[in-house]
Amino acid sequence: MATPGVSHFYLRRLHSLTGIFPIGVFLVEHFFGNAFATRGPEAYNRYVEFLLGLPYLPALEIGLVFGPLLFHGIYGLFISAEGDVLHPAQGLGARYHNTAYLLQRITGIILLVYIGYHVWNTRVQVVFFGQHVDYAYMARYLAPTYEKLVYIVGILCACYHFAHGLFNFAYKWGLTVSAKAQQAMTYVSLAIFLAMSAVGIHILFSFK
Amino acid sequence: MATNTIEMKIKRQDGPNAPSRWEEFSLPYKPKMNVISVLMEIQRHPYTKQGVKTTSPVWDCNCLEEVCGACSMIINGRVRQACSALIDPLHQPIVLEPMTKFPLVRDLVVDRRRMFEALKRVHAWIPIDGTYNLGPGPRVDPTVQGDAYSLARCMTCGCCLEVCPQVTPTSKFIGAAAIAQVRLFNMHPTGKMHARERLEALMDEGGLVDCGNAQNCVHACPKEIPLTESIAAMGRQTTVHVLKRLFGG
Repeated sequence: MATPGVSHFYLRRLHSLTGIFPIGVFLVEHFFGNAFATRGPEAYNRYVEFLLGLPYLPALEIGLVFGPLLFHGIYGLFISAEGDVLHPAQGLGARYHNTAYLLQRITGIILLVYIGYHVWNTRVQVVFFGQHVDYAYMARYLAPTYEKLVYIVGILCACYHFAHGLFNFAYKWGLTVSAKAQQAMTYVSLAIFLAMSAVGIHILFSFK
Repeated sequence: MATNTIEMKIKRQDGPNAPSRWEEFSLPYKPKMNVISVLMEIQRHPYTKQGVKTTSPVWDCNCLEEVCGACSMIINGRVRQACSALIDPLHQPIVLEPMTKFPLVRDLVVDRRRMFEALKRVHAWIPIDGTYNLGPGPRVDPTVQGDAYSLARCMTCGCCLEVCPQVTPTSKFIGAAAIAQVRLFNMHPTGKMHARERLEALMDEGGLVDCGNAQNCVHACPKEIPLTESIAAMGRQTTVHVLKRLFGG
């Protein structure tokens, strides 16, 4: 019964869903876990060992992180390409959701590059080049100012893209229908953006 | 700017593939004019501000009371109906441009056929004709009537498509107007009988999921139709429809 047109619907909904689960859930876990860095090198190293010792690690990484990320990122590029991203305000004045439409696409494209860079330095080096990642490595790697700047941009983009993605998810799937509910969800998503950004940047500056 | 004249700047284009140009007009001030009546004055005396004879600018209009949507154009950067655009509060020179998301016919006239095609695609009607008398329809709850009325005000003017970043001259997105009409007809007790067909049509390429949530439509709509609420409501109906299709119930 599925026609090519209807599979378009499923692809878009899958894109929306993967942004929340597993990617969004992973992002929250990733922040929370790495926050062990605020508890010092021993706590952080224990957390890294715990992660590396997880059963079925390759399956978890490919199935719940890299696979969904690649799908979400690449399909997202196609979605970005179909709209008139830099369309003018058309006399409607500055409006948050119109700006958010643009930001969601810009942060998405930045994140593709940033996550590639981040994964190259913290995971590919471990798996393919035998680099031992621990607190000392991270502190050394994140020490230069330009590295800090790259990570601040990456963290802000990830937090915004996720937080606004929550709004989009609630809107697209029909969880928030009334204008009031949509307004409330806008504030909830902005609060999540601010809270997660604060945590992310705190973690970044915890590697000393 | 002298207050005893009305200054107008119109983007002219002789045909779909002709180059566009700007023409300026200056005419004696009269109180309480609207954009259409100024265009009619120019039609009577088609001379530019520089005194050069030109052709009369071409525009579309019909009802002259903002219920038909035919005279939609971009006035001072904002898409709206020319008939309800009163001259007195407008900044001069008043700049008129055709809408950009539809194929241009000539000057200020565009072909809004894609909106009609979208309405046909989503079955935005209630079939009542048959080979026998179907009898009177069921009674409608007054609160549903109220909600339906807010959606029934749509005049297919095209403002919501014009301001939508997901609607481009080449994109397939049907736009907010047709999505809100699915909500309207799915709300009606007789229309409900074809709700599934409309939802399936809405799930096709260029349908509901092509909305990018920029939410400009609801601010541009001259009839104050709850477009973003309607898009979210259709999101919920399609979610439920898909869950039923996948898991039954």
